[in-house]
Amino acid sequence: MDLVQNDAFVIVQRKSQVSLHQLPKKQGKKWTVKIGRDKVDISSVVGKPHGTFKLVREKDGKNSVFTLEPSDEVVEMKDKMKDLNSGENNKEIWDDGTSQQLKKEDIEELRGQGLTGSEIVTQLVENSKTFQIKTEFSQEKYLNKKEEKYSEWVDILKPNIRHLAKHFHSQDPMQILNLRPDTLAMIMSLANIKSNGKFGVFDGGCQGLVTAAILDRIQGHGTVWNLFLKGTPQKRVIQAMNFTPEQLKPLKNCSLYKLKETLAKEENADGDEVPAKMIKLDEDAAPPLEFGSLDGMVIVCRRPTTIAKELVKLLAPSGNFAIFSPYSEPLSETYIQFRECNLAVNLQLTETWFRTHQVLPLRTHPEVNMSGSGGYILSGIKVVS
Amino acid sequence: MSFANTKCVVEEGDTVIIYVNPQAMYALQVKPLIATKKGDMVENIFQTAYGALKVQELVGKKFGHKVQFSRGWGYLLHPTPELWTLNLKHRTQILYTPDISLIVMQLDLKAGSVIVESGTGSGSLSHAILRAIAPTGHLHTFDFHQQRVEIVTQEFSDHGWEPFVTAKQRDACKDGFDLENVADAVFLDLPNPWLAIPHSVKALKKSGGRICTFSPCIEQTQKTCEGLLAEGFKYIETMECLQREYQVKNITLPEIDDYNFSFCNTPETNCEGNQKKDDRKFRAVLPALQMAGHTGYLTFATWPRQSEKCQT
Repeated sequence: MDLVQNDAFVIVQRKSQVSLHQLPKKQGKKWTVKIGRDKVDISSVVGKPHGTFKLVREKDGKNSVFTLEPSDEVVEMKDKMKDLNSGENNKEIWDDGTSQQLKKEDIEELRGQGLTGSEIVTQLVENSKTFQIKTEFSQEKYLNKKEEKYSEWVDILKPNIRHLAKHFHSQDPMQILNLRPDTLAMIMSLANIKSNGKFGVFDGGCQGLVTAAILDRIQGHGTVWNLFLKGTPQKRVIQAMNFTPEQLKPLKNCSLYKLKETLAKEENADGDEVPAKMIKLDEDAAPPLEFGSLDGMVIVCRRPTTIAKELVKLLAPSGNFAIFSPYSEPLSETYIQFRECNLAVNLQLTETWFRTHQVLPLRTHPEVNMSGSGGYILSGIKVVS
Repeated sequence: MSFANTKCVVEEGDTVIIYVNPQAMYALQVKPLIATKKGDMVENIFQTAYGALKVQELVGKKFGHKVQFSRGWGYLLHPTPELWTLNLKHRTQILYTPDISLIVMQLDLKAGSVIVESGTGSGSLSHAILRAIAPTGHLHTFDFHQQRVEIVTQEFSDHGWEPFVTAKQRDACKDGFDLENVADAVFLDLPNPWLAIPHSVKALKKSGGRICTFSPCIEQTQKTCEGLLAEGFKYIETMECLQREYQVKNITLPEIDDYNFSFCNTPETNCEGNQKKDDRKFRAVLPALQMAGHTGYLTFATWPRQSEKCQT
């Protein structure tokens, strides 16, 4: 079974609230993180299978820390309180700020006394003048909202691309150039990512998200060239995936300046014979990166206009590419450039429109908030004309 | 035979894409003879808008290069699941790339995944699933229509997917999948997906997995969500995804549209004091005038790891 390891990353999910944490390197070391308003020692999950855990207070007191214990018996607040009365409509409910008798300090004190989440919510409900005359739907909505804050159960999940793409995007979209999860899904299709292929990625600001997604998809089969210009390649998401050495095997980092030198040398050395002795036979070594050698290419950056045309030279004829930018303007320039030079066919500038829905009996509708843009993709297939 | 592994040169038996323009693409299998409607075998000659193409002569040609027709030329492209989706023969309604991409990612598919699909339909999604899970995973795909199963089985074999797929005729709602504790993911595209949820639970691994249902109508989605909740699924989410395509155009307005008017008599200048350039030329990024406004609602959910006591 899949157990939580020391030093590994985990996703902590409490209702819809998601956070990413790395566990301590050393066994037995306490590791306190904040989950919502609560301080939780997550080292208590090490050695246990991923799944649902209950927040358990170590000892009473205001600043006490919770530990986590495996627990599958989740009790939702709305189930606990389903026997309460409810009203027909909100005719008698006035927003005069007096319906909740408990003050902020009272609630803080209750927390300090070591009450559990559901006990606090019970107090809130009991001290509300209006709760019992709210409609059933309204009560459920209220309890769900409170549960987001006070739920005593959290899920400890193994990070995967679906979680990480959503987490990084919802935390701050521009830290990954507003590359929305559904746009990432499109990139994976349009660049024809598959096992046993050779792919190039230029990551100009999505924290290694695309590279991690490819490495995850191919599970050790194939080659992924992580192309970069300056410094070190982006790797935050790659690290958070807890990849095994086997899964990381396809990853080759390659500075474009070094590649330029190598390719120039090769051109000069054309015709010179290499003594047979000097050719090392290494079965495991990745095939060298040269012009026309890649099956697919993903470029992610703010302004791909100059670099895209160069990087496409590395693609094999009929190779697929997907170029992502949070802006449509540079991609429209690239589009015209590619079309005028007959570099590619099936050129498409697209974006995806994505929204989620609330589906509940008699209350189904699109969610009130949605993302307005998830970035743009220029995709196509390289041809030789 | 060329979907799974990329090659440079066409061999006999390969499926290739002939690209003339975005509106005219064709998927062809390279073989010397082809059956007529009457069943006679004749030389395989394909008629494009720019004249005839002797299909067998593609053998040895390089992908990504030009091919000659009798009155013009096109490009010879390597097949991909996306090109197949655009060019396959429709036996049913099919899923398109935006929904397919979301399904593959949200079901956590990767090399090695085992997935159950029902129904198979025309095999549009199946090709993208196979690309994601090969060479170590497996797709079990079911359709209650015998002829569809036969055609798609032939296509899977023509495209080199045979080792990674089992296609069977089966009514999933009535008879289930006859699979137990094997699948990482289940995909349901059925009129009544909620009827197949208990069978899906049986097929999913006890260590947990993902499920997706696709339904065009919200009433179906509603019933599905109730079914998923009742069966013990977690993180039930419903979403839709559409593609907006843009045309990129360099536009020069005709003189008649040049409303170069100013209340001042001196030529208009911008804030830096430079004279304005030609107003009639600009680059436009224009959304398509018509687009697909609805395909279906995708509902995803997680099947949690089953602890010991639940397994009885």
